[in-house]
Amino acid sequence: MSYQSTMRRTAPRGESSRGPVRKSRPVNPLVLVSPRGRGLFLLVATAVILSIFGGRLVQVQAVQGKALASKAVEQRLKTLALPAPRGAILDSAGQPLALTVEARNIVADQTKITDPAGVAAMLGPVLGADPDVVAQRLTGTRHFMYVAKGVTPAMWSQVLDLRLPGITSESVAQRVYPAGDVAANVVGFTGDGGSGLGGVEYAFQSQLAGTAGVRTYERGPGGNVIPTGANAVTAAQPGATVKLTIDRDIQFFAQRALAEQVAKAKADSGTIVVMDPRTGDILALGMVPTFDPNHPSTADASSLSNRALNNVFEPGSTSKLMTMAAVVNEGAATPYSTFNVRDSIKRGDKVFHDHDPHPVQKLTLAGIMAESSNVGTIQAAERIGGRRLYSYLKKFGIGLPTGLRFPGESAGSIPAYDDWSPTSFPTIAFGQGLSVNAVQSASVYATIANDGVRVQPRLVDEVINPDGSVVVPPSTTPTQVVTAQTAQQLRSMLESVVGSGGTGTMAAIPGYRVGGKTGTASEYREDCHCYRGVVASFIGMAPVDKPQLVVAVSIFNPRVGHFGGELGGPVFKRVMTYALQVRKIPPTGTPSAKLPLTYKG
Amino acid sequence: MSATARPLDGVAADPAAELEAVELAYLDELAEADQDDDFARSTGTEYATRGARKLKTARPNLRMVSPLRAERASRGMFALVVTAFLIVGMVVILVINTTIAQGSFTVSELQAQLATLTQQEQSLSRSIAAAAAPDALEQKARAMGMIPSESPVFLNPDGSIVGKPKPARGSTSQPPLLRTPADATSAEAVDNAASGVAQGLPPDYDPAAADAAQRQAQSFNEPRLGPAVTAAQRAASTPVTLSADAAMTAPASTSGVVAPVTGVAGTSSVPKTPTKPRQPSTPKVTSQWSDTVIAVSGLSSGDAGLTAVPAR
Repeated sequence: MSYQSTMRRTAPRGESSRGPVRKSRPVNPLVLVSPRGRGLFLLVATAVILSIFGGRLVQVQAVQGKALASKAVEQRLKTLALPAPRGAILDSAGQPLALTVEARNIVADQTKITDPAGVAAMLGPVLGADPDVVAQRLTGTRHFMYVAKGVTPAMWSQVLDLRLPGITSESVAQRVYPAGDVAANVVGFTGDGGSGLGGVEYAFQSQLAGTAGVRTYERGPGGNVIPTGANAVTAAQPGATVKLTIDRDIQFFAQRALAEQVAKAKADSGTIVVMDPRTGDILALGMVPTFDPNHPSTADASSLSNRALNNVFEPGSTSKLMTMAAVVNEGAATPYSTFNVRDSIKRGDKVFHDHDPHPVQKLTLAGIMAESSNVGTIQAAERIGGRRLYSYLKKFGIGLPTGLRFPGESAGSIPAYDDWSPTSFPTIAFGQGLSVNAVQSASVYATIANDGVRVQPRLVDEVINPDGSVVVPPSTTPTQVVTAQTAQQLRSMLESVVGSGGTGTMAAIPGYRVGGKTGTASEYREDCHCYRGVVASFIGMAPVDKPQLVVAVSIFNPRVGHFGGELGGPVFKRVMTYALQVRKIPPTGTPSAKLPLTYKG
Repeated sequence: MSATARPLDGVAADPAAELEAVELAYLDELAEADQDDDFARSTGTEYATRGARKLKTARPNLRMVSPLRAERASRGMFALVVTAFLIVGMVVILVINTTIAQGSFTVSELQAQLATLTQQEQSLSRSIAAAAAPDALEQKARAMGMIPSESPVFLNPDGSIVGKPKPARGSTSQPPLLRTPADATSAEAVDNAASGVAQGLPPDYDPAAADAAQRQAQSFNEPRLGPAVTAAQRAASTPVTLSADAAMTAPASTSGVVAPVTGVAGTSSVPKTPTKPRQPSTPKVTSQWSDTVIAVSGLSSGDAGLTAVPAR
């Protein structure tokens, strides 16, 4: 301003210089600086300074503008991952088998703790941990050290009340299995990262996990949120809920009854399957050994797998049902057809024996089934021949996956008919030389129970998405394996197994019509490639005239006791009795079929 | 200063003086043009309005100081307005900031509340899940003196009974949790005792203890008892067993979900009773059991398997 006014004021001098003033122009010696020079100096200095400013402005705004702006935003912007809550796994009644809850990991900044022993003495009792162990974790120079993991929020608030410096926590999602080992091998377990490592947790990982969300916001140097800054939230998409067909109560009871029997028999392992034959729903899939999914790391690796689906075995006598079904359905025999049964028979280069030596018996087909005669079964099977038997076994689902798509599932096997040796046919007729898993063998009985219609077993009822939509896992269409009449006749034969003179009397339930079949098969061991020990099993259904439940029990390598009837029968009885009550299935009240087992003549 | 005054040479030492000199020179020219002395004298500073006689009266206001004063006045006004704007602006910003801060406080407060409530909800549902877990339920039921029923019996609306009532057997002690065969072997003795179906003798069978148990059982008119139930175990199951014993002396049901039916065992009131299969492994129902409690159809699935019986 002053510069400009100086300019203006000095302007007239040019004009007036012509006048008399010009004469008085001689410079006064007292003038030190020309005002003109001073103005020029100011002009130049200001211009220089302003051009520096201007240059810097261009540099900052135009040249580096974008980079600097993004760097600034980067400094202010905080991106926070919002973890998606993992979906629950429920039983058929909606009871939780696996849940995700919030938990806290307690973290210590060791450098801020001056008196580890004192702090540990306060922390220990709250956390339920040994103060000495806690003190060890508090001592050192690390800024971040876990003191306890998976602590409940209530516990953490107690710790917070102690006002301990250097003790903080981080929020984590914790997977809990409220029912403990109930259905553990079906539900599976999760690893440290929260992803499924076994069972349904693994098979349905993508559905259960959901999609993590993101929250971005601008924050000040102190970490406080800048209210006017950018604040964007992409909400986490929670995982879907997986609802199983398992009934938690039946599962628990079945698992315990089986575990007690395995213990009593000093067996290696056992499996139990409870199925609704009409829908294929698996109500219980229990096994021994099992584990606590809340602490999978403490479990033995062998107890983590689902051996009811992953382990296959030769079914033995329980497989005779399929042979009989084929024979009856082909019209080659009826339950009343008669056979003269020796205690041994030679086929190929091999002699096949019944389990006990006996004189020649005059047995009906029902009698052969009730006494579980190998020789009689071979004789009956020979009426239809190997090719037809093979086609029936395939129709019953032998050697085919169950359709459950369970991780690690083994479909079992049966040699192709063209590969059969002369001894294959008789061997397969009474259930050796082919392998099944526990669910497959239960499914065979469910087919007979369901009037000959084979329904694919189901383990996952539905997947419920967070938006409420429901996805039902695909299922193959039911197939008619044998006629309803055949199935009905076979059920009467199964009833005679449990009746007097049969091998399965220990499975009888007073008041109910029960049918089933015992099985005592040699167990083929992978470790020695030999037959060692037995698989004692019992598979049955109730009520026989209108079956609503199938229970299959298998006990592997028992050392006390041997036969399927004595080992599997009692477990079947207990579990079936319980399941009938839970499912509210009253006795049908009809008289039992009482098929003749022997004949005179 | 007169109209004839000449600028003094050498006096114009500074710009102001020089300016004055210029002005004076200009006024000389004016004076020459208009030979009126008075006018020339009176318009000593007037150079913008040559010959404007009418302005004679306004002369004092046209002095050099007057524009400055006006400027000062408008400047004061300007400062006032700017200050007012500043204050108003600051107040507005303060109000906005306070509102936003208030809002963010409310948000974080509500978020904290939400987190607390979520935690509460989770811990509650977690404890419900834990309490509703099958083994926890069974434990509680056994503590109440209930044991699993072994014969499902259904009561028809007309009062008739479907099924064969039979007293449940077994102890109210909780069977051990079995996960692996190793667990099982170590817990076998207890297991045998706990499950009513124990028929064989465990390896660590103590005849004396079993005998004592047998005698005690007989004193309770027990039809049959798992032989491995030791006296020690009975003694160990304290007030629970006592209350269960009390329940036995008074044959009324100990639970609201089951109904006692007296004298139904083996009676002809059972309609359409299926033929009884041979049962070599289970003990026969003795007539000593007159007060049998049956499960009634329509129970919730949680209780259906546990029927209150007059426990030992």
